[in-house]
Amino acid sequence: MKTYILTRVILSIPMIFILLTVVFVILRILPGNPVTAMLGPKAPPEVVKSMEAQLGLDKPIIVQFGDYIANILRGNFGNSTVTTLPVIQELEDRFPATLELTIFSMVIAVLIGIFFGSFAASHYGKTVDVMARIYSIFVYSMPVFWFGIMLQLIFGVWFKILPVSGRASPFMTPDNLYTGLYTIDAILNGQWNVLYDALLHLVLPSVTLGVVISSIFVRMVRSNVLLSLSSQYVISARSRGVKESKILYAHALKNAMIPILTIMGLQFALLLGGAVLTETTFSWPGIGSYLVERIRYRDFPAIQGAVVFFALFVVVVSILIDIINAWMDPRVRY
Amino acid sequence: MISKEIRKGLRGLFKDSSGLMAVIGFLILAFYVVVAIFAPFISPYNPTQPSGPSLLPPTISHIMGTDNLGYDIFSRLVWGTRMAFAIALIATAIAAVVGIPVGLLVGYIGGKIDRVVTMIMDSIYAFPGLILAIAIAAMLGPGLLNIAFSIAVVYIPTYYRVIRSQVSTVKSELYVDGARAIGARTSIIIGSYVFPNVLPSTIVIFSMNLADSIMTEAGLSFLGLGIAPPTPDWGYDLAKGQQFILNNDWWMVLFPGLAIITIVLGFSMFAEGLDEYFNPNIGEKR
Amino acid sequence: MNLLEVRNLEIEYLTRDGNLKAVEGVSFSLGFHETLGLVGESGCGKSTIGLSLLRILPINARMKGRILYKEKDVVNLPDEEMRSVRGKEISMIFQDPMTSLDPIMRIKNQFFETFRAHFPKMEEDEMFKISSNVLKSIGIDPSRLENYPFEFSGGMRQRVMIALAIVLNPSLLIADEPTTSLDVVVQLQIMEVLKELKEKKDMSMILITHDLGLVAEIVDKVGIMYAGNLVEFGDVNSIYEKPLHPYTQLLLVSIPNVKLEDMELKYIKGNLPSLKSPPAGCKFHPRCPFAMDICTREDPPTFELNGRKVKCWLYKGEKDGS
Repeated sequence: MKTYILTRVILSIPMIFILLTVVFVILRILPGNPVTAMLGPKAPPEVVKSMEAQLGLDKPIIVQFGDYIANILRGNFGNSTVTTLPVIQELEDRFPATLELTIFSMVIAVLIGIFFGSFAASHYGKTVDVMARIYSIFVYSMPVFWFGIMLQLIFGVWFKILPVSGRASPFMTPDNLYTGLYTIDAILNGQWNVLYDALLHLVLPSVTLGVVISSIFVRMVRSNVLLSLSSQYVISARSRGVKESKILYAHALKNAMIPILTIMGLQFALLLGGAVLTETTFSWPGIGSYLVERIRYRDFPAIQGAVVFFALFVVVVSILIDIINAWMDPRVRY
Repeated sequence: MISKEIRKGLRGLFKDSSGLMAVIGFLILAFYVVVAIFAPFISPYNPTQPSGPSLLPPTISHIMGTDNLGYDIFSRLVWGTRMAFAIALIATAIAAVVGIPVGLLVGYIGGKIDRVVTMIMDSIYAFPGLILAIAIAAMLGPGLLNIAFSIAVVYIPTYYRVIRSQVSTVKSELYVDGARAIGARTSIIIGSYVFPNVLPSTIVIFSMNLADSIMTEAGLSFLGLGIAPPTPDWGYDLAKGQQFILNNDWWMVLFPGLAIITIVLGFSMFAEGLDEYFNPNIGEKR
Repeated sequence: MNLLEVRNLEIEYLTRDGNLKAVEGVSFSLGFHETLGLVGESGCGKSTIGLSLLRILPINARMKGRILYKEKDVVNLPDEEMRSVRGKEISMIFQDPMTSLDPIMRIKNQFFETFRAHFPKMEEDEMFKISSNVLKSIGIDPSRLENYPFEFSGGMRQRVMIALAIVLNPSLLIADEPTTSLDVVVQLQIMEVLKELKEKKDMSMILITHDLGLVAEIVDKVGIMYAGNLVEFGDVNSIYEKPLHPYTQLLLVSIPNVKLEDMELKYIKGNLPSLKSPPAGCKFHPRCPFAMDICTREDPPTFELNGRKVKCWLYKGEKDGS
């Protein structure tokens, strides 16, 4: 298992390198110079010059690329031109919010996906199954931000039972931050009212993102469980008198989880894209809303930092998914 | 009894005849195409000029209400159809025009180039599409072509992957069959034999990508990275509408959202129907 | 009382383009400690019968008729009662041992879940002990309980499958082409295992196969299937000595070491008829060297002679003892 993890990590190095290169190409080489993007087309040339020097953009492109990679390796993302704080520090501050949102959304999406999907598969052709198919195609067609706004309207404005923005009410943040995840920290501090407040704030954003992503999961779980339900080991387990519920969960679903996990890893990228929109919709102070906000201020180092961060996040998650996969599937592990 | 009939009907609709699904999708799309073409005749007001009091709820004269500037929402929706189609079509066309030839060429050449290009394409594919588009759009600035280009980059790998894998399969088949012995050049075979073969899946991907592009475009303009206002655009209208939901002005949000949903639904149903029609087994794997 | 009594079994598969009759009016019986070989070409419905005895047919299958197992009506048994029959009373091994075991579950747990399905309160120690003994009796080291299926060879997996099937001492074991996907040497080993089971255990067996020669040594009775019909049924020796149905005769010719006089054809011409639009009359008549006029018009009934059954017009009017 250890060797497997190590190999998997080493194998992802080229991918990280290519992703970083792609980001570099987009941000530096494509038409649309970061400096013009920051200062606007009408900026006086000497200001442009000094800005270029400040960002190291006056050097040859190869040197710039070397600096860029070296800085990322050192964890140096430059300083924000808006706040003058190191970008890495701002990202660290914002990351727990994104992590908390993505974890909760993922849990919701996976739960809906597994239950609805496997229920549909075990009732193939029945009403539940048709409903699952309609659900996934309809929800897939729904813009995540529109769904978010509608939930804000219904639960925040009409029923007034859930907060529509932010991570916490004023003065309701955990006293001591250990992980930065408000729910976890509130539990660690024993501040139950803070936990309740954090959960209340999490409901709408995570349901929004979770439901939208679940459309793909329902579809995937359904078709993969259908596939494993028709496999020989299921028939053979049935022939030994194993209960249908046990067959569905212990055999069909567990075997289906292997391909599902792999696809979920790919869908994580989609989840992050959705997270940017969800964070913006709910003024959720994560890295997605940070990126959007800094684009408005033309804060180039911050934009670059956030994009690089997302790229690395995707790679880390894909490694994690593969490790879970190996843990579940003995054939990979050995 | 009735529920049984409905169930039967739905089952027939979605499982047994993928054709019907494609037809429904096609009808939705045809509807929107008509709306886009005849926008000047359908929309009752100028979409970029106030046509009544601001923040008016739906009434007979403004069936979908007005926004904070007094623009007629229905008229903006009608004109916004043009924008949605224009950007989605241009973006998807760029992606196809780049992705397909590169896939053909790289699949044909094979070897090291194949490995390198495939790795790059896979990396782009693994990157969160919307974030990639956001980054490009932020660098390029507003403008129809810029937005379309940002979206296109995201979808190039989709074409590339499908085309390349098909080309390399066909190439090895040809090799085994000794088709070269007949004297046909591989490049000609690729052009005249492989391409027609991959055409059906290309059409399906094209249609799916149109759905995704409309979604991505709506997302970009929701984030303020789309076409410059006051050009009618669904995503932008939604973002503006969100500012007024605390006043309970729901009509500014509901209608643009429904427009996006139905058009995306149209494209995806069309694509899925086609997909099951062309290759009954592939649909489930996506 | 017979262990198993099958009366007028009919099984149909509903498919998108029409219904498919897989089994048509099949009747036979099986006594205690008796072994039956169900023989026929692939697609003749023999595996479908196997699955129907456990009622584990695919969901698009519809069955009619009666299956009496120890006087219990399998066709109409409540689901939960049926489940308690599976594995404990009747169990089954399948053609492909490579896919019949859950690939991501330790062998041990596949044994345990079988116990738990029928004896929820059984202690793990006991389950472990019984599984070990059964594995040992079948030639597998009990320490391999900890292994995953992919760590076994094909032949070993089939042994594991057999062990799983007999671990609860069922009264009836159905083996559906148990050796078809194995290579020749391993085939014989598995047949040895089954033969030993037959001798040592108080168990009836149904061996489903396309290879009459392979099972001849083991079985007591033989049923010959053709296109969903049981065309001949009887004692193995009498069928070998004097096959009645033309199809059986042709099947026996294709076994190299069996000699039959007066046979001109060395192979069976043509293919199995389509089950969706079967030919009128006897299903076998297009391929039958003795086809008569009536065969093209009317499906023959099953004639009984000398305690044997044959579904062929050639035997119309022949009386017992002739």
